[in-house]
Amino acid sequence: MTDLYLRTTIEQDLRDACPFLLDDDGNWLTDTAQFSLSVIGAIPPTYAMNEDGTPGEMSDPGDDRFHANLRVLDDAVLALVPPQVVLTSEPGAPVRQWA
Amino acid sequence: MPQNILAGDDRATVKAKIDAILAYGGQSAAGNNDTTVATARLNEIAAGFDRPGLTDRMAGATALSRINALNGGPSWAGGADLYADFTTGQYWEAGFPSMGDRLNFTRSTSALMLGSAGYQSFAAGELARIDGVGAQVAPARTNKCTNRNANPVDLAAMTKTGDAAAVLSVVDDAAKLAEAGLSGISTSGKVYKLDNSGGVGPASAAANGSVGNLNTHAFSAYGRGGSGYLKDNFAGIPNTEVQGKFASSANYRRLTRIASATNAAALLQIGADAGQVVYFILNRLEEGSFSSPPIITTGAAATRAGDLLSADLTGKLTYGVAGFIKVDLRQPSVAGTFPRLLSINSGVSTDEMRLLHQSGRLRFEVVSGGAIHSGHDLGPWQEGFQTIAIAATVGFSMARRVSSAAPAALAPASIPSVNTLGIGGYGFNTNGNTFQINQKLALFYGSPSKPINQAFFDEVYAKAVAA
Repeated sequence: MTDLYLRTTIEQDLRDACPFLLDDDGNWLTDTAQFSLSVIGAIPPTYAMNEDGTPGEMSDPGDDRFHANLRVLDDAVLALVPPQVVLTSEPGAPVRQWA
Repeated sequence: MPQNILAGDDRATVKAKIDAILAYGGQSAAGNNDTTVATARLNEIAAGFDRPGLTDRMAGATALSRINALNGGPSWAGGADLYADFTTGQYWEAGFPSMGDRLNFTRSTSALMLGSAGYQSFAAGELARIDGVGAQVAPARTNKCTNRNANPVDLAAMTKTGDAAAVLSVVDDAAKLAEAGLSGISTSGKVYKLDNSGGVGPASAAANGSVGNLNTHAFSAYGRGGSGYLKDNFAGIPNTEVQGKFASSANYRRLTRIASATNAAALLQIGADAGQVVYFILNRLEEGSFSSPPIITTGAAATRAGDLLSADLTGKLTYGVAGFIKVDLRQPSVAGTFPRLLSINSGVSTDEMRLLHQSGRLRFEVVSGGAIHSGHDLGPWQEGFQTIAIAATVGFSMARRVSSAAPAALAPASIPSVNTLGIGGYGFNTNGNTFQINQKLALFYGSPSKPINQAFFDEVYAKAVAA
């Protein structure tokens, strides 16, 4: 089992690079016997909160690029993932993990 | 008692001996699940049909085949070719003595499941979620909260807002967690405590991790103590709506609010009314129209993978199929994705016999080469326990929800060539998954001696009623 962090400029780039992650209707495949995919999309900004509960200043601008986590169960899938969509180093604090 | 068929037996004697054996449902004796002796006797009976002078051999063989006696099936399987009772762990299919030998389970992460007595328990990755309540099949879900929602150690990723007098802390509440069946998950015994006893206005604890979009989300947690509410921090979901309010309770129970935020950056907030103290744990923010079993977070959002539950049917349904499924249906994951209760397919949705949710209705359809050859409307989609019987072969298809009116039979021009049984979805991916708890499943394979027709469907429906 291998966990990959995927990132492209826009969603279509990942669709084009990894068509095996889509079903016949163009929907992302979340789970098969070969892999699991968790689509994150853009990482939204984070806001500090005021004492009255209203959102305050933006504390993190987020990331507009398209993100997804791929858990590979069958090593044959690894050869299908173009290296340019894979983060070369694991994020220090990934925004999403596998349960 | 042995029931050997003798060369000199007349037909009445043969029939009496068959009846004597079948009185035990194919077993060698009442309560004895070893079918070896009975099977041997029945095989002798079958051979006996070849004796000169017997002219109705096919009728006798058909009767034996229908009750599956020649295959040695146990009586509790009701003559099915494939039978599974997920509540008791009983499984039958010729050549596959146990459920684990036959059914394929895949899930790439661990998961919590609703166990018997309402307790939550773990199923490790790749293990089926089967407990006393049945086999749980669900789509993937992500908990977008980023705090430590099961065993908090501090207030990281949590923010207190509202009345300045309120105090948010992490405290021990092990006894109450144990009473709620949550101590196997919240192993440290620690929970969040929002003490607003000195407040004159509401106070909230917000968990980091935004909704990310304006789709429908389930805001949920286990909570106890005083009255309060679930909301978001952008006032898109006010703390005064009846749906989000919860009353005081001495014991933990699941708090849930289904709503759409008005800002993609909105967070889950759990509030305490003025003067109240609220304890909570296992908070989660999931995209979807219902709250699923808890997903543990340890400092980041976390995705629980979907369940794949399937069996190989290669070469078994040439002559069609009949059967039933008894299931506790929850809401489908996403409207418009046509989630399947049951899918018998060839690895693609263009060749499929399927029980599915479509436009608020439950339907059974036979699809071959992408064309729908028959479609049975079984009425509005319903949550909760129900049993549905189905049958399909060339020239005949039928489906009926138990206790509902019988629909008209249809006559599909063809049925697809299939090789996969998917339970709770396609079986080959989770895009068609529903959230459902499966209790019983039975399939009867058609054959020249066991034709799938109205009379046989009626027999299967009767078994579904009794299941």
